This record gives sequence, structure tokens and C-alpha cells, in this order.
Amino acid sequence: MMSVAVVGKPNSGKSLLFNRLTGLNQKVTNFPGITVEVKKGERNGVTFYDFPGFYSFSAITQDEVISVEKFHESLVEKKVSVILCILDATQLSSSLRMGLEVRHQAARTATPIIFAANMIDELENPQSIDWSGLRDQLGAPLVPISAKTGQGYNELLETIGRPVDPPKESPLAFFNEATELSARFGPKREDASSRTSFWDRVFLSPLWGLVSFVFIMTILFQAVFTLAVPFMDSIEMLVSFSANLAVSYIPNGVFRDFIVDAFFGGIGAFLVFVPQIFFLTFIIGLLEDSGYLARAAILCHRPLRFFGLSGKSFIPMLTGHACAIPAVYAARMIDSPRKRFITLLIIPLMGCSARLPVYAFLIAAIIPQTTYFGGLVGLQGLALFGMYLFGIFVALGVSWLLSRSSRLKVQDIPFILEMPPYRIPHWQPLVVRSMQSILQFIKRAGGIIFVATISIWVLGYFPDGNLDNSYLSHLGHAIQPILAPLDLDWKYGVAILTSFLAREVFVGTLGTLFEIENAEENFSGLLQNVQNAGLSFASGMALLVFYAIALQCASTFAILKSEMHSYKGPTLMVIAYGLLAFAAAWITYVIIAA
Amino acid sequence: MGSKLSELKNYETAEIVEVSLDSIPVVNRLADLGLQKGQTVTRVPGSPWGGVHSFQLSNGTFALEDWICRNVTIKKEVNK
Repeated sequence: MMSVAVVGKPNSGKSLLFNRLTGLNQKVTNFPGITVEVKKGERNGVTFYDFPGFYSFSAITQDEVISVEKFHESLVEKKVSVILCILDATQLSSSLRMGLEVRHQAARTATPIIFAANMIDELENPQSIDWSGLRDQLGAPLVPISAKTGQGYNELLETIGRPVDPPKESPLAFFNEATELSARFGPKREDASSRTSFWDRVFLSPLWGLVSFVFIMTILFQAVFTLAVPFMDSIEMLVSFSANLAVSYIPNGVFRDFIVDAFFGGIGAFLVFVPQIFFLTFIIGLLEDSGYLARAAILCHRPLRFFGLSGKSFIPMLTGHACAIPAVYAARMIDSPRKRFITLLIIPLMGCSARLPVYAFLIAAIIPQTTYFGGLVGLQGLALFGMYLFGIFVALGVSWLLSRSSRLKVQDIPFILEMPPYRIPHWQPLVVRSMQSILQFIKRAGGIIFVATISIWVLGYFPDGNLDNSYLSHLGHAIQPILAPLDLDWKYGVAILTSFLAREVFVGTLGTLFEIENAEENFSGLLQNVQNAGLSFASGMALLVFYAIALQCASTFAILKSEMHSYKGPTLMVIAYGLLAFAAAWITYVIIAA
Repeated sequence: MGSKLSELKNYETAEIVEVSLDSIPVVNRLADLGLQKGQTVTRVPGSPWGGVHSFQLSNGTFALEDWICRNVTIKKEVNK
């Protein structure tokens, strides 16, 4: 069976061509122990492997190093029979630089190579390139194409289907040869288009750059937060409907409770994040493919560098305010392993949507409804804003400290970023990428979230189905002495324990313990009971601070484990943030109580 | 002694004289992008807050961290 390795520089339109070649018939091929994804797809008996883009065989980022290694291995071990090397026709000399290196490897391993010069639709005059002369000099088939419009696509398919001889050995002066070839056969002028220069003057200007940055990020945040809501609600309704349907056939008892609360609860606990992941991946892909994301990273680099982060850390930090799960995925775009690691560590400190019900409840319980400026500004709203700022403040402090840790002061990759031309993105690769993110999430994190949900349910149900007398309740009483310095009783201990699965469980658990049904919707009843029970301002503030820092989310834990390839990292994070949260809560309590 | 790449102003053009960095992989990557001795480079708008400078090389635009630019020697005003 014929197999084709598709390689090219980043931003050469490789993925769009791969999608055109394989349609939706593709899957991610995970190489053992790495996060690099080689996609595999089939068409008419030909298998295509899409290797992540790399600039040259002198790779510097971890993803590039692994991509190059795996590509080289596949050539040496004859896993691929033909190389399809994608050149960017709009940036011919730098593409040729990489293409000549690939040709050199093809010659050494006697592997046939076909060049496809992509994006000819973006050339002002495609005939300004001497395709025939360039083809002769490369000593291999060269097909000018546009993966976007389909121009030249059939000719490329025919070329792949024909027998091709491996190229001959070539000199190693890739850069000089590429420059010479580009000068001889390429267009006379290859600089950035006037469109790119114009938009860079806008997006990178001191005033409009900042304004557009804030505007675009607000749209991104709102889209992830609001567009996903109807779909999340639909999933919850579907899960609830399925649960009701299933239990209508099951008699009352433990098994029925298990099916409703644990089984369907467990499924809903991870499926509910799917719409957010889809929208986030789609919109980030949109920004990336349009060329804006590179500019946003440049804008943010300096302020974030002070805290040991990269300009590229901004997107996961912003996304983390909606949900940590898609934010962890977004951190993959950070080249520097050290900065990516630090970013992963601080993502759980962003004020995610699961913290909102906890913040809203506690603030309403301890802060009066005072308003200023004719009701325009409310004290409770200010307190809520303050909690989000507090999370960012703690995150930056943690990253600043970590970046100065000697254990993390390893050789790092400097910020070197290609600024791709501005382009109108194509929808197909964006949809495919978003769907793949969803499948990965379900595959990698779904299992652990499901098991964790069931475990908490078992602890809260047994021995007699009464939460007050459950093992979880006993645990709550056991840890009550720990909470005594914060003047909190055992009920808060149980609520804190259950919310280690998901923060939003806090309000529901308190509702059960204070005997209020549907506590999430019936805030006022629960508030009254909690206030009557004597929750002090100092204790309430201590709880707020605790929830702003503690890592209480099974989904985040699962996804961090998947990205870090071990339980050790996320386990240490839960312990460290738990201790930090408690210490900060205690200090808050002591200061306010004094 | 020539000027440094970091001293180049917006839309000024210069020829690269020397890239003095210890990290071979970084030097190789810069060469991949076309940033090597004898090549022409034009400064274009980068981050308004500094820290990163942007340059147009033979056929692409790249952003580089400022400390890299301080280690690249240039000869100003060629082919302006």
C-alpha cells in the first residue's frame, strides 16, 4: 500500500491540503510518550501522514524536534513510499530552504519526493514564477496548487499516482541554493503584501493595537462563554432526559440512585465541556489562521515576560476565565517548554466559570447590597471583580516565583516568531481541528472524570443513602478541626470535600446540608439559613480566598495529567494550591477578625 | 564596530554583519529564517511596548526577542 508523508513549514497551508486529500477520513496518530500529533488519513488506497510543520532539520522546539525525528525515522524505516513537500509560493525562498533539506534526506534514503507549491491564489501573477525551470533544478515533480481553491489539485493527485524516481544527492548549502533558485525562478518581489503592512500598522500601533487587542479578546471570551451556553444546556437536558428515561424502567433503590446521580452525573460532568472546547478551538484557529494570533503574542510578550511567561501565555490565561480545560489545550501553542509548563501551573488560578456560583453565593452572604453612583456601581459587583483580579494577581505571583526557581532555570527557547501574512481562514480545517480536540478530550479526560464522579457519589451515598450519615459526612467531621481556625463547622468541611470534584458542587452540597432543595436556583432560602447559622464576614472572606486558589476540579486534574504525562504534577498542584489556599484563607481570617 | 539590530528604526534597512550567539540551535533557526551574514533586513512595526522587534527578511516577517537583536551586528542603510 502506498503511503505519503506530507511535510512543510508552519503556515504553508499543509493542513488545508491534507484535509482536501483525506476529507474527514483522518485520525490523530499519537506517537508514544509525546504530545506531537501526526495525523493519518486515507484516500483511494493511499495513506497520508501529516507531520507537524518544521522550519528545518535543525529543530529547536520540542514539537519540532520530535516531528523531525519521527519523519526521519519513517524515511529510514521505509514507512513512507513518497514525500509530498509543501512549499509556500508566496514565501518561496524560505520554503525552498526547508524543501531542499527534505530533498537531501529523500536522496539519502532513496525516497521519491514531489513538491507542491501552495497558495498560488495569493500570488499577484503566478506566471511570474518559472515553474518549469524550478522543476528542472529541483530534479523532482513540482505542482503549483491552491489548497484553498482547488487549482492544480487534480494534477497533484495524478502526480502522486505516477511512479517517481528518488532525487539525486545535492550540495548541503541549502540557504544559498534556495536564495539562488528563488532569485532565478521566483517572482521579482516577495515581500510582505501591502495588506499585511497596513494591518500591522493598525494591530501593532500603541493606541489601535491595544484597542483592537482588547476588542478581539473580549469577543473571544464572550464567544466561548456565551455561544457555548445553549449547547451546554442542551447537553445537560439530553443527559437528564436520558437519565429519566433509563430510570423509568428501574425500581427505586441503590441501583436507580447510582444510574441517575453517578452514571449519568459522570457522563454529564465531562460532556458539558464539549461545546466550550469546540468554540474555543474554532475561534483560536480562526485567529491563528488569519495571522492575528502571532500579533497578539507579540503585544503581550513584554508584560508577561516579567512574570516568566511568554506572550503566547495570554490566550490560555484568558480562556482559563471561562474554563481551565480548553485553556490547558490552548497552552499547547507555547513553544518554550518552560513557559508552557509555568502557564499550565497557573491556569487553575484563573477565575473559571465554576467559581462564579461559589463567589456569587458567598459574596451575597457576607457583603451588603450597597450601591453607589445612583445604583450604577454595587459593592457586591466590585467584590466579584476583586475576586477575579485576586486570581490573576496570585497567578502572576506564582509564575514570577516559579520562573526564578533554579530548578526551572534551564536552557530556554527565545521568542522567535514568524509573522504570517493576514489571510481569510478556510472553515474546513477549523472544523476538523475543533472536532479532533473534542474527541481527544473525551478520550483522555472523560474516563478519569467519570470514575472520580462515581467515587464521590459512593462516599456520599453509603452506608445508608443519607448524606448526613455518609462516609463523606464522617470525613467532613474528621476535618472539622482543620477548619476550626477559620470558624467554619463540619458542613463547610463536607462542602469543601465534595467540591474537590467540581467547585460548583459547593452550593448544592450546602443546600443539602442546610436542607434547601435546588440550592443553585433557590439562593435566597439558602442565604438566609447560612446567615442565620452565623457565617461571619471573616469566615466568608476566608472561604472566598480559599476557593480563589484551591485546585478543585476533577476535569482539570485529568487534563493536566494528560498533558504532563503523569499523576505527579497535578497531584502536587492539588496539594500545593490546597495548602496555599488554606494559608491565605487563614491569614485573611486573622486579619479581618482582628 | 557596527550598530546592533536592536538599534534599527522602523522601515530602516541594514545588512547583517555578524550573528554572535552562543546557542547553535538558535543561530541555525535564525539562519533558517534568513537572518545570517550578508542578508538584508528591514525593521517593521513590532510590539509598541518593546521586548520584541519585528523584521522583514528576504521573504517573510519575523519577531525576535530584544536580547537576540542586541547580539546581531549590522551595517546600516543599504538598499534603502
